[in-house]
Amino acid sequence: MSKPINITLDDIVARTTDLPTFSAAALEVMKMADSANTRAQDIARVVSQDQAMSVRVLRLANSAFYGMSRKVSSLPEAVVVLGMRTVKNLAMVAATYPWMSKPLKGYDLGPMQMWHHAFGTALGAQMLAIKSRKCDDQLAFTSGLLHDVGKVALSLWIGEKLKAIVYYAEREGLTFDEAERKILGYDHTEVGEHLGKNWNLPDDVLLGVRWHHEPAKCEPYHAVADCVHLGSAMAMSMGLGIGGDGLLYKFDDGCYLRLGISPDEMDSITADYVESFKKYESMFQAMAA
Amino acid sequence: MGLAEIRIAKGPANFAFIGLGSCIAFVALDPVADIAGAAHIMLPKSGQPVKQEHLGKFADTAVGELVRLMESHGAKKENITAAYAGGASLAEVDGAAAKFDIGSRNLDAIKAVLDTLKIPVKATDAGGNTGRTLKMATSSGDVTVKTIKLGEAVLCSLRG
Ligand SMILES: [Fe+2]
Ligand SMILES: [Fe+2]
Repeated sequence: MSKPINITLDDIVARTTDLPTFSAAALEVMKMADSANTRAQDIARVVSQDQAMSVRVLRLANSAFYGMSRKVSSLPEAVVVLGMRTVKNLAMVAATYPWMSKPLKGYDLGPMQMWHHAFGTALGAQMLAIKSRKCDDQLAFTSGLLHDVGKVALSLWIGEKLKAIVYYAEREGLTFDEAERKILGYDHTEVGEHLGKNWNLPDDVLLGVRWHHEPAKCEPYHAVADCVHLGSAMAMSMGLGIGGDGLLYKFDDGCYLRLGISPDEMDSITADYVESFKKYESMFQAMAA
Repeated sequence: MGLAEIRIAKGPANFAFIGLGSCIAFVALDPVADIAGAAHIMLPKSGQPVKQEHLGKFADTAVGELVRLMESHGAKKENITAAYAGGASLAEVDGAAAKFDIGSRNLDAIKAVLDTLKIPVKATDAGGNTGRTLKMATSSGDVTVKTIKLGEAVLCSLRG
C-alpha cells in the first residue's frame, strides 16, 4: 500500500474556505415544509435573499425545458406559473450547481460531469421516491443532488492522489469506498456528511448522503438512503459522470425489497429515466449561460 | 454520441462515446461503400413496440436499425464489420440484483443480435467495473478505447 494520506475529516472541513459556501437562503428553502402554513410567496421571498441564486432560478424557469410562452421576470411570478414545489427544486439545483459543475481533479471528471452525475442521481432518487411512496420526493431529490459532495472536497484537498486509491481498489479487489476507508480512514460519504453538518443541512438529507453506498446500514432505516443508492446506480449505469472510480461500488439488491419495486418495474423506470434526463439537458445549458 | 443516438456517415467522420457505464458503444463500417455507423445502446430489450425515435435505446432494435440505415445509403451487409465497448456493471451484482445488472444484460443482448444478423465483430472491450471512452475515425477505421487504468489504446481497425 502506498503511503497513507494523512488528512482528517476536520482538516477537510476546516480548509473548505476555498470552496463556495452553501447558500443560507437555499438552506432555509430546504427546511420549508410543504404544509398549508407555507405560503407560495414565502418561497419567493426566501430565494430572493440570495441574489446569485435568484438569477439562476429565473434562468432555469425561462429555459426551454419549461417551454414558457412568455418570459417569467420575477420570483413571485415563477412560483405562480411553475408552482411552489418546482421552484423549491430549482432553488436546490441553483444552490448545488456551483459546487457540482467544476471539474474534479483526481476523479478524472471534466467540467459538468459531476453535475450530470449529481442531477442524474437526484432525478433517479426522485422518481423512485414517487414510485415507491416510501420517501418524500423533494427530500430524495435534494439528497441526490448533494450525495457525492464529499468527493468535491476530497478532490480539492487530495487531488491527483485519488488516483492511487483507484489503483489500490482495483489491485485489491475492493470497492472504491472501501479503498477510501482503508487509505484515508473515511470515505466520501463521511466527508459529505461532515461538510453537510457544518452547513446545518437537515438530518434526513444527510442520511441519503451518508448511506448512499451502504443503504442497509442506515439506522434507523430511512428510504432516502435506498432512493439515493439506486438513483446513483442508475446514473452510473447510464454513464452520467463516470470517473476514475468507474462503477467500483457495491449494489445492494435489498433496496428493491425495501422500496417495494420489482426488478421488472425497474426496467421501465430506467427507460423513462433516460428520456427525462435528456429533456433536462436544455435546462443545464440555461444555467451555464 | 448522445444517449440512444444512432448516426451514420459517408466518408471521413469521427464518432466519440465519452464516459460509458453499462451502455454499449457500437460502431460498424462497410469499407467498400465507405459507410460507417454508430449507436449508443442503453438497455437490452425493448419489450413493447418502440417508436422510431427510441430505436437507438435498445440493443434488440438499435443494431438492426443502424444496419438498415447503412444499407439504405449503399452499404452491403456482407461487407460490414463491427466493434463495441462498454457494458460495465456495479461490483457484486448478483441474485435479485442481476436483473438490474444492465451491463451484462446489454452484452448478452448485443451478442444475440449480432449472431442473428450475422455481423462479424472484430474486437470488443466489455464488462468489468470500469468506465470507458470509445472513439472511431472512419477514415483510418481505427477504433480506440480509453480507460483510467490503461489510458488510450487502439482496439482494432475496421479497415484492413
Ligand atoms: Fe458516492
Ligand atoms: Fe454517486
